[in-house]
Amino acid sequence: MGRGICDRVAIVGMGCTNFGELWDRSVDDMLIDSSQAAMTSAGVTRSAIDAYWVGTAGSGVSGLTLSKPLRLENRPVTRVENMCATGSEALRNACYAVASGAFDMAMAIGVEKLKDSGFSGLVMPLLPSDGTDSEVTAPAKFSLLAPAYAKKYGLDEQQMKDVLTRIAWKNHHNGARNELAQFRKEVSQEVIAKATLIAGMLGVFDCSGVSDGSAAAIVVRAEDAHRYTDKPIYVKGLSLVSGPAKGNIDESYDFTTFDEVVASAADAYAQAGMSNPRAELAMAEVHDCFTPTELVLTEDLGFAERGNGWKEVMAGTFDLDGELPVNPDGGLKAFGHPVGASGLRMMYECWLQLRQEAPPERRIRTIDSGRKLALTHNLGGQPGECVSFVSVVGSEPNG
Amino acid sequence: MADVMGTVVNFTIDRLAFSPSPPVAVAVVNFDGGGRFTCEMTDIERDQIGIGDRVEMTFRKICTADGVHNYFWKARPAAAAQTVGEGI
Repeated sequence: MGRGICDRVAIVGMGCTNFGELWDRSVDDMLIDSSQAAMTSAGVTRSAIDAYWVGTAGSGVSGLTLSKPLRLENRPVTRVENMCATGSEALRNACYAVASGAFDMAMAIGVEKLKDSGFSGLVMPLLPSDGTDSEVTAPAKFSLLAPAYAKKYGLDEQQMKDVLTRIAWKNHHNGARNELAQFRKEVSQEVIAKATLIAGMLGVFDCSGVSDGSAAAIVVRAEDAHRYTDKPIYVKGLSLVSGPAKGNIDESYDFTTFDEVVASAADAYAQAGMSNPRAELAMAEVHDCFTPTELVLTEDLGFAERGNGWKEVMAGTFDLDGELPVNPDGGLKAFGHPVGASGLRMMYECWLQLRQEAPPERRIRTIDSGRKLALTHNLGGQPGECVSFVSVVGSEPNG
Repeated sequence: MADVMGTVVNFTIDRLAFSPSPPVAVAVVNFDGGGRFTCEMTDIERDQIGIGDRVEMTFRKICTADGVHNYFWKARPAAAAQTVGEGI
């Protein structure tokens, strides 16, 4: 695929609002809060930022979504949308704009307001179609991963439920240590396992939080980064793929993998010069929209061998104090999932952890052992029909 | 479609989706001779659906909106092939 822009740009400032049911804050309020926090973090004002990419799945259209609340004076502002990978798409475009030399400084910002629509959950616009599209809900689509995985790798129903429950338990454990998270309570595995069923074997605790929120990043050329911070985060790899969407018509697709994730991970690792993500990454933020998604992602991203992801989950490999912490900030599960903001929220945790600025109660120890790379994985769509984004960032440029 | 048999390769129960006959049982069906379709199951007892089950297709009501009835294909257990479904 592409050659990539390894170490050519760096993130020098980030901001993130708390996520949750923010009845007292509008889209404009959240955009102002996260952009201001990012600018303060980088020590710059609006006048220094040459261009903006604003990601929102459905809380605004056009660049005016951002330029109006920030009263930007005729700057280029592009609104992007790529389903649940929207926030990552904003970052990706801002990074390329700076790497191209067209701009010295760009902002990527994502926002979503899901709680004032009158509906529960993510409401997608009604698109023209032939009327034969399945009207299955998102939890049901992702719940298909569970029986398929269990059958392929010989888990009985109880074993499978235990694995999913442990993933939810782990992410709530991490979210309880994050003051910005939507859900800040630990939840026992017993409560998770007995929760009301939503789809298949997924209960309410297997589903990510529906929330409002915003996150932002400021990107500059790598050689300029130290003007703004002593601890820039270098962009190593950025990969976005959109799949052929044939999983629901192709008999060979078995619902135990996302081909798009495998492809985007291989691309991002190649750009970053990585060969062993499990050994090289200090942490990963992955798209745990539903618990079986996180399970499958551990294998698709190369953190576990095929068929072994569930064993690694049960062994604690991906716990906060595990060999490779996954979703140390609580993930979509506990931090919440304001669609357009989520990709940048993931990057915010990488920013905090790689700079050793995460609060002590959730600081990962892999950094202390010398690991300097972090990954974000963002996915939009459903099994067999999705877009997938993988980024690799690091606290030092490659030698 | 009515004369093509298939096999359930994956399934779920969608307790959120709207349907005149909730909860919606969803099956991913691979058809004999090739092809796949994800659709609603009908003529089943609750949760009585499993990977490997043989199914046939039946043309049923999907929903009614503004007085307009919308019909499309659903899958039902092959064993029910001899009885005429009365439900939706």
